[in-house]
Amino acid sequence: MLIKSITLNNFRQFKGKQTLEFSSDPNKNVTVLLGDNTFGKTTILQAFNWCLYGLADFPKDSNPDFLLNLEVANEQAGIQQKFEVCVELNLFHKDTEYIVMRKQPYVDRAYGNWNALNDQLTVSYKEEGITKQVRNGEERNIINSILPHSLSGYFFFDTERVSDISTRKDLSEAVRGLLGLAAVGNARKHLGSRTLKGTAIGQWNASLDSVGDDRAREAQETIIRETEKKEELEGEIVNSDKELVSLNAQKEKIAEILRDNQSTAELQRQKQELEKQLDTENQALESCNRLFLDFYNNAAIIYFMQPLMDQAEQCLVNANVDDCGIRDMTESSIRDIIKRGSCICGALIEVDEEGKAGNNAYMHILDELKYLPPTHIGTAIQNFKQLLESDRRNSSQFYPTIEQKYKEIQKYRDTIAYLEENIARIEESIFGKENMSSFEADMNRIKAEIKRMNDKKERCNRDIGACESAIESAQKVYDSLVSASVRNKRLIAYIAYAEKICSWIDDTYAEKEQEMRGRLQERVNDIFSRMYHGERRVQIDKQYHVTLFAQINGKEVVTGESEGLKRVKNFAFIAGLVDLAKEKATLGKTVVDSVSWENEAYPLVMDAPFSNADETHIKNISSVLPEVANQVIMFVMEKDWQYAESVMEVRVGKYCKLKKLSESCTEIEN
Amino acid sequence: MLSDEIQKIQLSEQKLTQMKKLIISAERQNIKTSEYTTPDMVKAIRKIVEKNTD
Repeated sequence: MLIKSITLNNFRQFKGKQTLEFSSDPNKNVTVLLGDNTFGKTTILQAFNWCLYGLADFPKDSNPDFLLNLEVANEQAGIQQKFEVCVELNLFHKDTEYIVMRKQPYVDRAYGNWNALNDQLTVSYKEEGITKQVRNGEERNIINSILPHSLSGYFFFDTERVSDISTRKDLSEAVRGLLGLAAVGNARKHLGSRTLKGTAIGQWNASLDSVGDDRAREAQETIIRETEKKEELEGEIVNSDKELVSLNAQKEKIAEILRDNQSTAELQRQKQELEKQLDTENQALESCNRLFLDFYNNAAIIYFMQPLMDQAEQCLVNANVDDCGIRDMTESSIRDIIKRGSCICGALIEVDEEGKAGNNAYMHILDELKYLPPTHIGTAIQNFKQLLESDRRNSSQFYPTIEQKYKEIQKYRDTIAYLEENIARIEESIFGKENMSSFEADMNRIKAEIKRMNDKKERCNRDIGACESAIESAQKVYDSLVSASVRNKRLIAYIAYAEKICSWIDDTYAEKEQEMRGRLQERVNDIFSRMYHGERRVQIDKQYHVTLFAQINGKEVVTGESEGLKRVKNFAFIAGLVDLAKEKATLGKTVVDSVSWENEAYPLVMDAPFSNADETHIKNISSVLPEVANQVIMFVMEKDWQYAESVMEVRVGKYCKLKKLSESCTEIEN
Repeated sequence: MLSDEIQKIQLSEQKLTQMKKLIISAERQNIKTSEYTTPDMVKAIRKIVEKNTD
């Protein structure tokens, strides 16, 4: 980094627009700005801080927050008047020219009551002749990458007010930035890890199709299985076709035989039909014979008893025992009525104690006992007569029934004889001819077989279609997954390379930082020994805090530090840092895996650097600073400069002077 | 396991060094300008690795 110029516009006592240019000649890299106390040296140093970081540290009694030149404020006073303070810094960093500009607008609320509005920071850079403005919001990051704010106190060195390095906050990140390690740290952060989705490795990892291989394997198995099934089905179709050819040939052959023997076949069919009928007629005849015999066995005896029944009936005509009793009346019934004492007609039945005499009703009912079996035969004869009558009625149907049945038997016998005659005639006519029905049966069998084969072919074709569909969809899945698998391989390769780079950074970064810290300590000690005429040693810890040790009785102890000693220590630290920062940086353990890059030289801007220093220290510091820093800008009082001039004169590229016109107006004389 | 698959990858030292150089150079360039955001830089690094791996 080299500072080309700083332009102040109404900034504190620098009224109007005033530019201070700095020497960037590598051999004469010192710019000296001479000015006595209250001339504005510290103001210029604060202008750097304010422009870059928005902070300016002025004495409390000097209205520290008001940056606008007081003369301008008075001259421009007026309600709603606006005026702005501006500082513009022009610098080169890593071969790029930057313009950092900070503006602070003020508005007058009531004749001299100027109020500050929000300041505005712009950072632009030139790239291939074109000025580009840094992305909004990134200005501070850019400035910090050029010169970390945490180190600004060293680069813009206010000797009288700088705090001690040993008490400052952790400077490690800022120092890493200056030593060029920030880019490596950022690279490591952006490469990331598999679990961090927002990083390169995390994104590749998230893109991996972890189940793709299993699914591809499944799809491949489906393709193989369905292809085998399809081939099997195609084989079945081929076999069916062969079978069909054979069956069609057989069918044709039998059809030819059937055509040639069509009449025989017809007769054979007729004979078969007649034989079926004959069979039916024989069964019917057999059934008829059985019914005839059953009927005869049951009814014939009554029929043949008829003459005897006539004679028995004649004998009973004059028996005069008919109709005297009550049918089905028993002796027990009569006894019950007598015992009850009244007849069913209602008449009272009275009887003496011995039971031999009684009233008329008794005597009358007693007479009924005479007609009851076994006392009276009449009732039995009456029953017998009725039986005879029933038998006679039944036997009257015997003859016509038996005659009818016999006629039926005879009819069946005639039909059977007719059928047997016809069959015999057909047999005679087809005697010696082949049995056509077996050919017809064969033909039917073959036709059924052909149908079965065609059905089978149709089914196979349908199944083949299903197989082809399954193969096609599995193939699509497989193809997509195979491409995913190829992609996976690529992603895995990316992750492998990225993780290798990460482990390279992890392995070497900490080591590199430690090495840099060691070298810095070495360098600071070297510079310190050149500046300080005593036996002291500097130690730098992990937070880049600097501690001074002294040898007392062979032991190293932390010693108290005078203001002068602190100043030399701080100079030594920052000089060591800028000296190391301009070296080429290399990261890597071996030459093969190392990556190198050019680092940046930094300027030192110092206000009253020789304050509180004795002549020897001034000379020592003056000889060291132009060597280690790329650019040295010093604001010194003439009385201090006289000691440094003899040593530094040859390195001075530019002298400037501050001319104080009034308490609120200073001019820069370039 | 992904780690096993990664172990099987044969890495080219030449490609690896090239990637390191390009990545650090890109980061250094972005530190100068802050032109790219973190997602942009992640994308840029991915591109460097992918281009140099393939």
